[in-house]
Amino acid sequence: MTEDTKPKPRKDIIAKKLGSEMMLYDPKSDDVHVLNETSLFIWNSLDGNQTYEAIESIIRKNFEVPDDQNVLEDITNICRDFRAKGLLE
Amino acid sequence: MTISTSPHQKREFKDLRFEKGYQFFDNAICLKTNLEEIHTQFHYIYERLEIDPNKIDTKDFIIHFSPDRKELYISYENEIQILEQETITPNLYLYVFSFIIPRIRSHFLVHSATLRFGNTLSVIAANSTSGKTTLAVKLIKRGAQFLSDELAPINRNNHLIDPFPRKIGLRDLKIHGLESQAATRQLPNTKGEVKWMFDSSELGPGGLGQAGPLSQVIFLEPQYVEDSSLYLEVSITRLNYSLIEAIKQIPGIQSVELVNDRIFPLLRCFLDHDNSVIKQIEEAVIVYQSALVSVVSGKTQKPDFQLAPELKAMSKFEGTYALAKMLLNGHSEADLLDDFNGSPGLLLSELADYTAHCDFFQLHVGKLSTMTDIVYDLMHKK
Repeated sequence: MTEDTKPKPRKDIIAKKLGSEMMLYDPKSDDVHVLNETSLFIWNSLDGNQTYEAIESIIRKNFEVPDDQNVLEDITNICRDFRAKGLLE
Repeated sequence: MTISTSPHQKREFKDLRFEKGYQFFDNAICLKTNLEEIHTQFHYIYERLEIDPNKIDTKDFIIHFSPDRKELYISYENEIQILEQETITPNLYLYVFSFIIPRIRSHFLVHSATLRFGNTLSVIAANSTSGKTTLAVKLIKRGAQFLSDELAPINRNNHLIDPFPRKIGLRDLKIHGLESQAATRQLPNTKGEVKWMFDSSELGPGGLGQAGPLSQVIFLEPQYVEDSSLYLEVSITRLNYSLIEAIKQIPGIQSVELVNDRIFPLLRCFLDHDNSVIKQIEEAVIVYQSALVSVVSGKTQKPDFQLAPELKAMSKFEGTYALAKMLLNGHSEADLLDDFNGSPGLLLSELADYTAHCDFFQLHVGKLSTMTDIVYDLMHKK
């Protein structure tokens, strides 16, 4: 199965910003998730149009990231985690 | 709502000589009774919440004592309770209030004190015996405005913390230099644990604070001196002295202590060995027409007020989560979750709307004067 590299958050997820974190409430599973700053930035970048590479590019533009850090892998892992938790469409 | 219709028939009385209206959030009641002691107690504690029942639409809260039948009849809305004389609690005002609490829908109620300095409104949240009221009174003496003690009412319509200016109950007058007032400040007609009641205006210059948005929540975390007695803290919806006697008879229970200054009456049951008596307690509670709100086991512990207090910042999520847990402990969990389709997650999500601009702290309890300085400084930094 090929991985969807343009993921989109589910519309029914209730997101509440709490300082530098974000709380997500999933009404289907009744689970609550907390996103740290990095996950939150990626979550906010997911609109169904952005590829992982595009998100990487935005991150590299906005944050001081060492060249040798594998940002793409981090994005992929975080999105897999979102997917595993059922937060994506 | 989980409040059930009572099996008893409504009765009419002609000797309800005492009558006064009170506004408890979205519950406006007209307390009608033939018992002067309950009338006096309520007036003494809730004077600032009195309303004119001729001007505001109220619901009758009837308390009638019948010397012939030796029973007390209590009715509010569709609920009727009839207590035998020997089961009547000496502190009836708490019993009455425990009828009202589960019906409050306009506010979230958190067991805490609420104070204000300027625009900073702080909720000091803690369990009993953590020094919450003592700390609040020290801050009132230093000019803080008082909004509430015992519970902070969070208005669900406008997200503001409202005042709940019932009198402040103090267990220790010496610590506040108020010993000379002991004779005149004891709540009339009470038995058991003594509390002296003061209006906030008698304790400091700040007066009563206005409603406002939540700025800070400070969770008091006691650091305990531990000893070895095991206990179960059993919160129940209705107090009944026969129930206490029945629980005392359960094998494995050494003694039962009534803690009656909580939103729900709490029985602290000291145990011989372990907590395998829960099932028997549950059965007794059902027999005596009450319901369990919560059961917490622990070891008897006393907060150590000699240690150095320590302040730690919490993330907004940690703080919101801790607040939600306190809400569920303070209300009947089932009643509160009724409004959220039974989902604690949805409750947490709504609560996040109230706390997005609030700072959270954990204050490890210790020396009172240092704690007062820490909270005073914190409230002036915001």
